[in-house]
Amino acid sequence: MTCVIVGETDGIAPFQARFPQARHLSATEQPVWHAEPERLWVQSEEQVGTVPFARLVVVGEAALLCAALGCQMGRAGPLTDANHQTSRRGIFFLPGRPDEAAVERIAITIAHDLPPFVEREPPGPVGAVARLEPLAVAMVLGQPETTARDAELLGQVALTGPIAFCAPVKLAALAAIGAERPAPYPIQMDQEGA
Amino acid sequence: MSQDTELIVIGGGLQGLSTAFWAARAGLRVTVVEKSMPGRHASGFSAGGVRTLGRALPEIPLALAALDLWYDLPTLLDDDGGFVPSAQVRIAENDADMRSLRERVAVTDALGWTHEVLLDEAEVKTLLPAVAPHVVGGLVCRRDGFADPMRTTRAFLRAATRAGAVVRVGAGVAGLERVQGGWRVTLEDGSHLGAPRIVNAAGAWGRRIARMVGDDFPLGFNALMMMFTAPLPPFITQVALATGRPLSFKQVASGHVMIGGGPKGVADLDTGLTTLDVTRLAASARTALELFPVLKDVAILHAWAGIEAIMPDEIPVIGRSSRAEGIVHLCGFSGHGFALSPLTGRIAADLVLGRESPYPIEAFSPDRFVPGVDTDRPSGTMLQPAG
Repeated sequence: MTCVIVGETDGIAPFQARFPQARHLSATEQPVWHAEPERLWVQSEEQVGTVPFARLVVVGEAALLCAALGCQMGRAGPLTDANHQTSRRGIFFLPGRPDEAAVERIAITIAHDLPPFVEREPPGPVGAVARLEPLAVAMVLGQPETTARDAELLGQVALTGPIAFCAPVKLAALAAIGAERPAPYPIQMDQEGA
Repeated sequence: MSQDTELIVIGGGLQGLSTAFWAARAGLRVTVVEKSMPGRHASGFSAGGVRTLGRALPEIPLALAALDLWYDLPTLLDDDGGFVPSAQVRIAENDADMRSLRERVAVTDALGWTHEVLLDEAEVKTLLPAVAPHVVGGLVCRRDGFADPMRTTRAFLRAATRAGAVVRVGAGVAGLERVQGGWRVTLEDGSHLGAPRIVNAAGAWGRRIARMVGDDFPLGFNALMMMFTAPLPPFITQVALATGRPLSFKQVASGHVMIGGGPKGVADLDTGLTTLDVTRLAASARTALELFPVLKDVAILHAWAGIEAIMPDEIPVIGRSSRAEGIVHLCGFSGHGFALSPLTGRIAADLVLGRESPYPIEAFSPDRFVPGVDTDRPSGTMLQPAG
């Protein structure tokens, strides 16, 4: 079972001893720029690549990453239970550097594969958030990552679903894994009412 | 049953709102029912290309007439939709691409259309100084451009409302039933609405609506993906497209570069959500970088996908139902309906008013896939390569 721990260096440090087999991804050295179920997309200088995971611990400002993974989001970020588990089984979130007790709770939850117990927040005021068009979203994503910026983006997540990317990715690094002419993706067909 | 309104438009995207605008302007009492919010899907996530270049042959008369409406949009809507007349250029990367462009022009010239003009290598490199050295020519439509999809959607919404249309949001359609004098629409909240006429402008959900009235056509869907880079100093004012591989490319006034043109993710009609396919975005990034090396150091900030209705022949469904009286279908634009929308809404309004379209729309018949009907694609359509 691959366990991956993501965050700023001092945030993920407390996990080093308790999770020696885990892969530790420092936000400064190997930033995660996109996330999909069971894999993260990271960037090196030359090209992008994936890191698979079965269990994931996210430490620090990572609202977009958790949203991309389908975790239920509150107004302030991912919703978690007492074990710091998000609504997605096996995905944990801590807003800042964890203490020893938090690390231990996560370790026990992973060891016993406990299910999440996340309660939904009551919905916020309807109509409070205006839909941003893609260029405006890009402009917000281009701003430094702050709580206020992420709150604005989470408003869009509530309207239209996850926002990509979690962090900027170098076009040339992405292009480096691109096929010249991938086979066309087929038209999807709707079976409802057929 | 009593009729609450004279026309119900199903779908509050650009096609539906344009229809509502034209129909309300013609004096009909119009109600638009929108499952989510105006422009939630394809209209809000469109690349915003206003393109006559490379259109399927049956679309050319519509695209040319729609382009005139884009230039008149401020008069029509009190808003230009962010339209920027910039030209669109299809780039030939090799001799095979150039041959296909020449063949295309031979076909359009023979039919009397002169809006597409061939460019040799020197001409295309003068027009696009940042293009890669391997480019050998191109095809340009100088009056084409691009616009702001959400701004255009909101402009049609405001104009339709000013003309008297009522737009109901959060009003998904659960059923359609033929009743005396028209149609009874059951909304997802259990309420009902009646009208003698219905326009199906439900986009990727258009087949579900068609089936409710006894029609069917092979309307599928895809999640068309796009990206925005971080801003760069100005290097291109035109919209550039590739010929042999999927790419649509433009730089907006803020300096951000939009890259799209056909790479597909995965769409889910039931949730309305999309999933990006990073490997296909990577192919798109590669094409963009190979054609515009100026991108070598830029970062991508944002990627997204909108759910587009796609027909097998990649041209829309526009026409009256031959089985269900009072029903007009307007959907299946296959990723390039944005530019047509000012006109196609007008055509749909004409059809519900009992008028004939002044533009040829036989090729868009809802019945064209009925067995026995010739479904061959006209030659020289030069569709965007799929991704």
